[in-house]
Amino acid sequence: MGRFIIRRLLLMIPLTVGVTFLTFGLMNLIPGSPYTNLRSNPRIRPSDIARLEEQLGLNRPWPVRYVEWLGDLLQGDLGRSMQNQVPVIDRISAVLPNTLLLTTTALIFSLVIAVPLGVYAAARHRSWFDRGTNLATVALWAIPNAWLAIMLVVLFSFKFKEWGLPSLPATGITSPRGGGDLMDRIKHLILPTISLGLIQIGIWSAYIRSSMLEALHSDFIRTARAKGLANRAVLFSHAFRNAFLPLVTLVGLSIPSLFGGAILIESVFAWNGMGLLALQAVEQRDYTLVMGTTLMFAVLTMLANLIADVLYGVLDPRVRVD
Amino acid sequence: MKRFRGAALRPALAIALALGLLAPFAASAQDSSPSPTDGVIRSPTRQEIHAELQAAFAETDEPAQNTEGVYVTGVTSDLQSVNPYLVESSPSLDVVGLVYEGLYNSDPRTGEPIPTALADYWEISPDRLTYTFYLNKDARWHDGVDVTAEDVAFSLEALSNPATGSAYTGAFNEAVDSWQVIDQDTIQIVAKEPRFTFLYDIQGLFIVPKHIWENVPFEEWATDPGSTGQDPARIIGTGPYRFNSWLQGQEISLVRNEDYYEHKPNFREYLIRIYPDAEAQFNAFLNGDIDAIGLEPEQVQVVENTDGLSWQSWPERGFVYYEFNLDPSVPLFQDKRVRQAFMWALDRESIVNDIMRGFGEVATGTHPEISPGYAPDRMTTKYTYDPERAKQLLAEAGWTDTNGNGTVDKDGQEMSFEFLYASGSPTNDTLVAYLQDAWRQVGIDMQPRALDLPTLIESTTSNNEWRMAMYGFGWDATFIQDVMFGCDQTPPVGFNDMKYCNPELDEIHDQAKREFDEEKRRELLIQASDIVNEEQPVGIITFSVAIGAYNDRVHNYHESAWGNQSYVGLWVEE
Repeated sequence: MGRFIIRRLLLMIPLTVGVTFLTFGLMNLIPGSPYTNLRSNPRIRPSDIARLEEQLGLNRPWPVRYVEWLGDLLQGDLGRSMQNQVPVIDRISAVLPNTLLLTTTALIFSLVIAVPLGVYAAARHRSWFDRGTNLATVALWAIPNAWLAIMLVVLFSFKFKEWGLPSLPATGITSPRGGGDLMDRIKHLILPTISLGLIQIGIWSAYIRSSMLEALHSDFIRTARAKGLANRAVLFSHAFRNAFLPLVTLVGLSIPSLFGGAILIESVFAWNGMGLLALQAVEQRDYTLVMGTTLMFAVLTMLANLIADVLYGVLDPRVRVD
Repeated sequence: MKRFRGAALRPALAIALALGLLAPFAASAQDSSPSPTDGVIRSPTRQEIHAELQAAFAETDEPAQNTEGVYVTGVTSDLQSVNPYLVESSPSLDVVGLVYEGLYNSDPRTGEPIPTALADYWEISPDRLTYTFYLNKDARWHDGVDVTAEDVAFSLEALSNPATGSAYTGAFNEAVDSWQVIDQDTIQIVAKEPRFTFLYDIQGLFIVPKHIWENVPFEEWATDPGSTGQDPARIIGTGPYRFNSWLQGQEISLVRNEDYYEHKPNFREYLIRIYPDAEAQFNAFLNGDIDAIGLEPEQVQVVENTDGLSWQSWPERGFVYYEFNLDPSVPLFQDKRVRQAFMWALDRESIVNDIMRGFGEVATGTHPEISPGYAPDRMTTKYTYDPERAKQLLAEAGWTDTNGNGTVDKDGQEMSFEFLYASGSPTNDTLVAYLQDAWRQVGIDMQPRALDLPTLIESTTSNNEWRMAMYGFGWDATFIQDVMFGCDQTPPVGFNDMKYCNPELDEIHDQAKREFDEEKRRELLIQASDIVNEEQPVGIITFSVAIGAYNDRVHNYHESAWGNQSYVGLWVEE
C-alpha cells in the first residue's frame, strides 16, 4: 500500500508538469495581455504599456517564462496576481474554502437523495417507482446545470418574493446588510447546492440501481433471504454494502466534474469560489492566477482520485492496490 | 475614456465616466476671462463653489432622515489596487476616488474643473504655463496629519517616476515640465505647452501622504500591502471615506470619514459588492441586495414592473459607431461618397426606437447633446433615411451591380466584406443584424462576425486584414477629438484605426487645444465636427442615453454624464 501511494504521488509530478505546460502555452496563445484594455486608452502611451509589460516580464517568450514559473513553484512560490499584485496563494486561499464548502454540501446532498432512490428502485425492479425514477434521473442528467440554476433563482428568489412566500437569496455568500450569521449563510448555500447537486443525483442513483440489481441477483443474497432475514436487512446490510464499493471510486472520479460544474454555478450565484476566480483570471489574462488555479484544480483532482483508489483497497479486501 | 462594446455596455461606460471624473476638469476656471489688470486666470474658490453647489441641489434634495444607513452598489470586476496610481479600471477608480483626492474635482453639473478637493483655488499665469495651486488648509489625512505642499510635490514625483508602475506616467511627463513648492500651502506646476487641456493631461494626479510612502522605494509600491489592500492601516487618503476592508472577489467596505473638511456623506458605510457579470449584478439588484445599478434598455421593463424600484435616464458622452479601414491597401472605402452611402442607407430613427427602445439619440455631427460642440443645425449634411440617395452615391463612385448578383461591384471587385464587432451584447447583435439588412438593400454585402473584445481590438489595430468594425466610445470632457481623427493617432498611439488623415482637421484640433476662450473653442469644435460629418471616416450611429435604477430605500439619487454624485445628498433608509 505504501509503495502504491508513493508511486502514485511520483506519477503526479509529470502529470502536473504536463497540465501546467499546456495551460501556460494555451493561455499565452490567446490574444491579449493583462494590459489589453489599456491599449485603447488614449491617455496611456504605448511606451507605458511596453514598460508595464516589461515589469511583468511579458516581453520574453512564454516557454522561458514557463520554466521560470516552474522554478518558482519548486520553491513554493506561485507568484503574484498580475491584476492586483496580491500573492496568488492568498487569492486562492481566500476563496478555496467557499468552493470546498459548496462542492461538499452538493455531494452530500446528491448522495443522500440518490442512495435511497437507487436502492429502492433496484428493490422494486420494473415497478412504476423504478420506471419513474429512471425517467427522472435521465431527465436530471440531461439538464444543463447553469440553466437549472437560473430557473431555481427565478422560482425561489423572484417568484416566491412576488407571491409573498419566504424567498431565498439570488446571489452571494452573505447578505450585504446585517448578513453573515449562520442562518444567513445557510440560506445562501441552499440554491447553489441544489443546482450543483441535482444533476449528480441522476448519475449516482442510476449507478446505485444497476450495481444493486447486480448484487441482488448474487448467490449470497439468495442465501440471506433463505436464512429468513428481513427485506430491509438484506437490502442494506448485504446488497448495498456490496453495491456501495464501486461508488467510492465513482465519487472520487466525479470530483473534476463537480469542480467543473462549480465554475458555472459560482458564476450564476456570484459565489466567490475557485471556479469564479479561474474564470475571471482567464478573462483578464491574469497568467499567474490562471496557473495557480489550474494547479490547484489539477492537484485536487489527482488527490481525490488517489484517495478513492486507496479507500477502495481498504474497503474491499479482494482488491489489492499494490 | 476607453473603448467599450457599443450599444449596450454599462461597465465600460462607467470607465469613461470614471476617467472623466478623475481627469478632473478643464473648463470653467480657465474659461473665465483673464483678469484685466494682470492677465492671470483665477478659478473660483472652494467656498464659492461649495455655496453654489449647495444652492443647486437644495431645490431638489430632501433633508436626510437617516445618516446611519449603508449604501450598497455592485461592480463586475474586482479592484486592481487601492493605490491611486495603479488603477485604470472603472470600479477601482471609483473606489480610490472616494478615499484619495486630487487637487481639483469635476463639476457634477457640467464636468468642468472645480476646486472642491485639495486646492482652495488656482491661478494660471498670463503665458498659460504656470499653474499655482493654493492648498486647502482644512484638509487632513485620515490619520490626522496635515496635508502640505510637500505631499503634493512627493505625489508629483511618484507619478513622474516610471518605477512606480503607473500607466499615466508617460502622458504626465509629456505635459509637465517642472514643479516647485512655494510654501507649506502653495505649489506651482509648470506645463510644457500652453494648453487648455493641461489639467486633463495630468489626470490621475491623486495626492498621497508622504509620511506613509516616503520610505517605500517606488518599484515596491505595487506590491506594498498599502496598495494590495492587505494592510488597511497604510491606506490613508483625504477623501470623504476611509478604507475599511476588501474581501477579495466579494466585497469592499468604506466608512464615512467623520473628520471630513466639507460636506460629510449622509450614510455611514459604502459597500461595493463584486459580481462575476452584469446578470448576477442585476439579479442582486432585483433581489434588493444592492441599491443602485446601471441598466440596459431591455432591463427597464423588468424594473418598471417591480415594486420598490425606480429608474432615471440622462444623455451622456457615449456613442456607437462603425469605422472603415482607409489604409491605401484597401480600395473599398477610399471614396467619401461610398462612406456617405453607408449612412444614408440607415433608418436611425428606427434603430433608436426599435432596437434601443428609445434610449438613444440619432447622431448629427460628432458631438452629443451635453457637449459645447453640439450643433446639429450647423452641419452641412444631415443624414436621414434615404436608400435611393445611398444607391445614387455608390453609383456616382462607380459601384453598380454589373453582374446582377445583388451586390454592387467596381473593376471586378464586389462590395463584400466582414464586419467585426464585440460579442456579448444582445442589443449589439440585433443592431448588427439590422445594419446587414439595411446595407443589403443598397447592394452592400456585409457579413457580421462577433469577437471577444481583446480579439476585436487586436484585429483592428495590429494589421490591415479587417474592413469594417463597430465599437462604442466616449469623448473625454474636453470634447477635442484628435485621439480618434488625428493623423498621428493611428494604433498603437490613439484610436485612429481607420488611418484617416486630414491635416486641416489636425490644425483645427491643435488650435482648440490652445484656445482658452470657451466661445472660440466651441466654434473650432463645430468646424471639426462638420469636417468629420462630411467625410465619414467613421459613422456615428447614435449617442447613448444612460439609464440608472435604484431601490426606493435610496433618497436624493441623481447621476449624470459626469459621474455618480450620490455622495452629494444621498441617504439610505435603515
